[in-house]
Amino acid sequence: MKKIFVFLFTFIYLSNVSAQVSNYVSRVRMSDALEKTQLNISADLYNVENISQISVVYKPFGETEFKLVEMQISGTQANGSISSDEVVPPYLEYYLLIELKNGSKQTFPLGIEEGVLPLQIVVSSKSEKGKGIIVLSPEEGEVFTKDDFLISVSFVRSGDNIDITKTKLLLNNVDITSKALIDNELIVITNEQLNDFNFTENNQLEIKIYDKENKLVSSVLRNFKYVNKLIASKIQNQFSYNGQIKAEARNENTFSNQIFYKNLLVDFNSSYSDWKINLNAYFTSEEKENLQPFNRYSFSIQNENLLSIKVGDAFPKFSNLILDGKRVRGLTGELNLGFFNIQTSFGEIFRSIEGKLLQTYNANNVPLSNDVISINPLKYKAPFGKVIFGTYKRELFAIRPSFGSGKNFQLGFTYLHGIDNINSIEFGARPKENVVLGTDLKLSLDNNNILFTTNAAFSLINKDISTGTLTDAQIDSIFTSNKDLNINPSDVKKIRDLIDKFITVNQYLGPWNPQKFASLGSETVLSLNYLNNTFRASYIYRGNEYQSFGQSFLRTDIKGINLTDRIRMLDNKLFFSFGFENLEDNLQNTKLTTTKFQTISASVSYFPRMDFPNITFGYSNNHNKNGFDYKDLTFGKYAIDETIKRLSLILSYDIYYLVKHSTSFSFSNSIREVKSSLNTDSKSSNISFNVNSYWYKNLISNVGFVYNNLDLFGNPFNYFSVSIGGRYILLDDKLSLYGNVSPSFGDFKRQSFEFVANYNVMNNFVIIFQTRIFRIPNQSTNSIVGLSTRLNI
Amino acid sequence: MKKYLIIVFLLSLSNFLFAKNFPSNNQVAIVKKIVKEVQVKKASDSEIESAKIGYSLLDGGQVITKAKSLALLVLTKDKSLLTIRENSILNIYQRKVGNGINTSTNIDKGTVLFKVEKQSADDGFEFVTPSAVASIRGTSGVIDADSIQTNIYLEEGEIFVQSKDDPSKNVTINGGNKLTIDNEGNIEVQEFTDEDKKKIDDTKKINTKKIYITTPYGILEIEYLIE
Amino acid sequence: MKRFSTLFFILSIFICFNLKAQNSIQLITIGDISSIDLGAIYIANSLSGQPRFFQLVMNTQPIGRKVFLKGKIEWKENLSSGFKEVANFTTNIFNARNIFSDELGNSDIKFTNVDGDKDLIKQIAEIGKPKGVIGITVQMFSERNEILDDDYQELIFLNPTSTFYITQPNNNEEIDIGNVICSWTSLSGAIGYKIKANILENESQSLDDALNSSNPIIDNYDVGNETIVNLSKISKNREWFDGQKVVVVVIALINESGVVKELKCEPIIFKLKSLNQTVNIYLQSIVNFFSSIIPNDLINKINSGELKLDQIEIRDENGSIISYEELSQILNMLEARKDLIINTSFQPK
Repeated sequence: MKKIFVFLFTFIYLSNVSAQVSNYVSRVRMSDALEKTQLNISADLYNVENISQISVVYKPFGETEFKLVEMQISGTQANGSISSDEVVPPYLEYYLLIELKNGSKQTFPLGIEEGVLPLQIVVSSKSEKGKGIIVLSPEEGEVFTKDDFLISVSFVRSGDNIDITKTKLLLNNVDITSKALIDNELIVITNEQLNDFNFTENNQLEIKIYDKENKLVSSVLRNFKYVNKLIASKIQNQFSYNGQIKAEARNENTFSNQIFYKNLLVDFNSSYSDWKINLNAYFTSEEKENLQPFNRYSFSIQNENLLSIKVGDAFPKFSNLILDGKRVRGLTGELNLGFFNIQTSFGEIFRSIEGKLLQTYNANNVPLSNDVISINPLKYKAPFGKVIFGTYKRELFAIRPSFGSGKNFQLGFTYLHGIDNINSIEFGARPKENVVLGTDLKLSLDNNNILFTTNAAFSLINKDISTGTLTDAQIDSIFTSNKDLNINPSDVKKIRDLIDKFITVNQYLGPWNPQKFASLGSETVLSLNYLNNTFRASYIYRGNEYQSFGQSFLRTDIKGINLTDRIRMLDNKLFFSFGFENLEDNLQNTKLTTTKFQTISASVSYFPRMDFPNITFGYSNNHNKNGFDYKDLTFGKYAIDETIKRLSLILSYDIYYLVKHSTSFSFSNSIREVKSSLNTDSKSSNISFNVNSYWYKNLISNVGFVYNNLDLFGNPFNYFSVSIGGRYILLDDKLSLYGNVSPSFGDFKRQSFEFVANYNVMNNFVIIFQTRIFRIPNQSTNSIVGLSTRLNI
Repeated sequence: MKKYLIIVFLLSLSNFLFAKNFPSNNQVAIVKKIVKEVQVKKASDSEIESAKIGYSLLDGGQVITKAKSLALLVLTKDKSLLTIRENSILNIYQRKVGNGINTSTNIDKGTVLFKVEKQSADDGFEFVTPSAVASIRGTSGVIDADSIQTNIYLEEGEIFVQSKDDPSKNVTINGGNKLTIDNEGNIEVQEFTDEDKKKIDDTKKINTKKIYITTPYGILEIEYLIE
Repeated sequence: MKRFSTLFFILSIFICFNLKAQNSIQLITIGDISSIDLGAIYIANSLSGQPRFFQLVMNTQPIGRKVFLKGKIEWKENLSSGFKEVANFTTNIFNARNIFSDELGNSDIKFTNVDGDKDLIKQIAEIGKPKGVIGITVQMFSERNEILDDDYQELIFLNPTSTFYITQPNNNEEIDIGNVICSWTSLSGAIGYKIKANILENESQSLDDALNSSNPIIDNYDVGNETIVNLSKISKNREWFDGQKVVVVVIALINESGVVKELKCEPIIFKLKSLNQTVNIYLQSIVNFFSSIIPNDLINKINSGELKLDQIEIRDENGSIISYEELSQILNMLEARKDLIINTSFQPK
């Protein structure tokens, strides 16, 4: 019977009908036509831009009317399907109808209207042999995530003639048979085998079963959804944007000094695929020409971790010894290829602010003072002037090439150059120039449980470049007149010419003693995370002359070790922490004596996660001493001998009485003892207690008490503070009201009242009103009143 | 009633007569879903290993689910589903008997949601617990067993249950009833209470949802069961 | 004879006083110089840009008399060791007047001879800068090589560096607003200290940026020579209030080569303790739910208000955003149905 169906028709099915002549269709492909099985048709197209729609027109066997199914055009391909109910043996007639944008129509094959016969496709009947094939997974319409994806077909019940090894699996028309694990009577494909498969959200699996004679006996379709991070990221790959506009008007009245602030922040982010751009601008009424800028603006473009470029204000982070947290107005960027990366930043870190001439002097009455300088006598009709110094424009350039991704290894080298622009202002003092060369290494082993980092940097600084580099004449004069130095001026000139390429060479270039590591900064850290211990050991060395324009705050002339260990016990309920630091200064022996700084600290925390308070107890002891006795008549005034001891206890506990009350109690005590001829000792104790009560989901109240006892230089300073307040949320969580009153009594007299209302006008629009009043009896009543709005787009 | 006795008899007989000669070498079931920590022994002589989706169990295979974990097995012979809830130990056996395939699922302890397809005349399916043997021909429900007693919550169909130690103590229950049987063969049958219905509903929850709360200091993750 | 001797003696004294009164040189230094660059005291002709750190006040009779100078620089490394001569110099003859240090060798007054102790100079260069005590002797001679007057000054160089640090408060300590004791280690050579403090607006702001933001709370408040101060009591530009984070830095003032230079310590952050800290309800529900797995420092950050609601993002496994309200409902449901929870975890960044 089956054979009759198969050979009944003279038109033989061709899966690849490429001989038809068409201006728009180059090829038509379709899945195997099997009884009661969905038939998929795809057409490769030409001149897609002229096509407005394409459809499959078909007529199932036994019916008189042609039916039409619209195809989906995707790129240069159109896809459509005929539902399984309409695929019946022995054959199905079809053609494609192409509607063009100019309104005309065409068929494939051409000339159907003129009487050309439609195409026919033979529909195979389902074989009895195909029965017993069980698709265990997926179910029709099933939704998979990456983690639970499974294709599995059982042949346990299949007939003997079925050849499991000939089974074909087509996923989205892609043959994935080679990925299948065929084990006895089971075919399995999991996500492991299809890890690199390009899933779409809606997917179709076609399973074709063949007999031992290689004849298709059954075909099963399964449609399923696949939702995973890939898809999610594809969704995210679409263009998206968000932004925020914040506007604030705030009046602050402090001791009769009134300042009205007007601030505007605009922050816009947009992303497409892996690319992100950000535009950020902050404008404040505080911006003033005679101060460093307070306005901020930047534009950045970023591609994941690969590339980022920022123009405007940036706060680049290189090594903490070299450039860390300094505002650079210019260009900052990085390119991370993994094996090689480069990071750079250049621009202005101080803008120029002109100084001010206060008074002029002639040569006879000029005083010796550090703010009296030589001025242009022609311009100011006097050779000397008393000035307020301005600030030179300071420019910085830093670059750090590095090798390795940093996941396990990275080796980096940093070069930084900073210079004051001596022409940027007229009245300035000692323009400077700085060069820093550094290297850093990171090694990470055993999944970051062992982490070793080290970095070192060497700096050169010229503390006064106003006169420029030494001239040949100056070198001749210096080294010829002072023969005791026994230095050949021509050698000096050669060295000058070499170094001058990097930094101005004159008598203010330092350090003079680089061989003594005076301008070396380095830090080495080893972290170990084993056996519930987090251990960290570090060694720092910073010479007394180390300086980088990229780092405003760095403790220099210091070396020593720092050890910390944090031990977790009882399933992370009990923590012990220990710290020890031992540092000393006077590395280059430039000081009269060496000061040692020693700190020991320990704390224990218990978080029982049960009906018992959380407890933290801490103790620390700092001792700093330089060996001089304060009673010594000569050296006494330089003596440093001080000890600071601190003790703290924090208890927190949730009490359930009607509702939850989060309580906390803290006690701290510190004693500073200074051995000196003056009494600069201090003692301070603080006890506080507060309760936050969660009455309803939308009402929280708080009550707090503080008692402070301070003794500074023998003068007592005691006070007591109370604080009562609460937060109430209403109008469907749209309005949040917060109020608090906190008076202090005793030596610290201050009464504060705070009220803040936060109203979500719309989901993306918030208005915040704040009033804070601080009354200081017999002195002043200060206030902060402000209104701000935030719009999210 | 009579037909169940025949089935049990045939199953016992087939085990006795053919088991050693015709054990199934084929896959009995495949692991379709795993939540958290599940271990399997692919066959009776295999090592215990962490289960993965797509693992197949042979005759004598074992599944062990840990706390808050579950495994969903699909039987290869008919796509019957077994959801093994947390803290359960299940062994699965299969024999070919003539044209039929007999499946026996031993639940040492734990809870199993079952949706067993209608068995053909040649096939068989049974649950064996420390206190009961339950023969099934196409039903769905929950079986909950420990070393002392077994509870069966039958949603649909029929089930024939007999005491493991004393086959003369037996009963057939229909959908909508809960059966309790202990080691001594004491049997109690009652209609579902609301609590029973809730238990069944909870046991059906096999899909999980994850929520990620990303903070500047780390990511909090919670995974929980949904319908 | 005795009378004659006495008269002679008195006359001598008178003549001497008279000479001194008529011809004098005075060496005035610019305050307590605690540090000086080697380059600043380099004795050479035509070396421009030298600092003005001392002045020579010359009075001669007649005014503008032709004179020349001889000078001697001595050094003792420690206060207890003896002086050693490092260098001496002689200038050409010039008309006496008041001059500054930077005019020596760089005006009509030139060095005609400079002699130095090479070993001592090398020793000082190895230290990198003068330390201990430098003694400067200046002698004024008439063009006939008669000594007219001399003067001597000692400069003690303590060479302070940014080694000092803030000992109180501890970094990230919470302090009550009425008792913000700030102390630091004394820095030998500092002529005074200033304090600057400002609010840390957000966690991502750098300390440098916070301190350099507009209108600091405490703007270079001069605390004199003290090394401890109660910040609550000193005058502020504007009010601070509970819950705010404050960055504070101590600036030591030193006189380096005649110019007042600022040395900053490493800044620290402290928080003004809030007795009324109410945590956002949604954050509170997260804390309650995850209390057993969230690290304590994160709990503290939430409880202290440091972690704001808009800093967290909630998504499901498909990447879809989940609202705070939705999360709160889910957590409430799971609180009641803990059996549905498969797993909770925290992955630190």
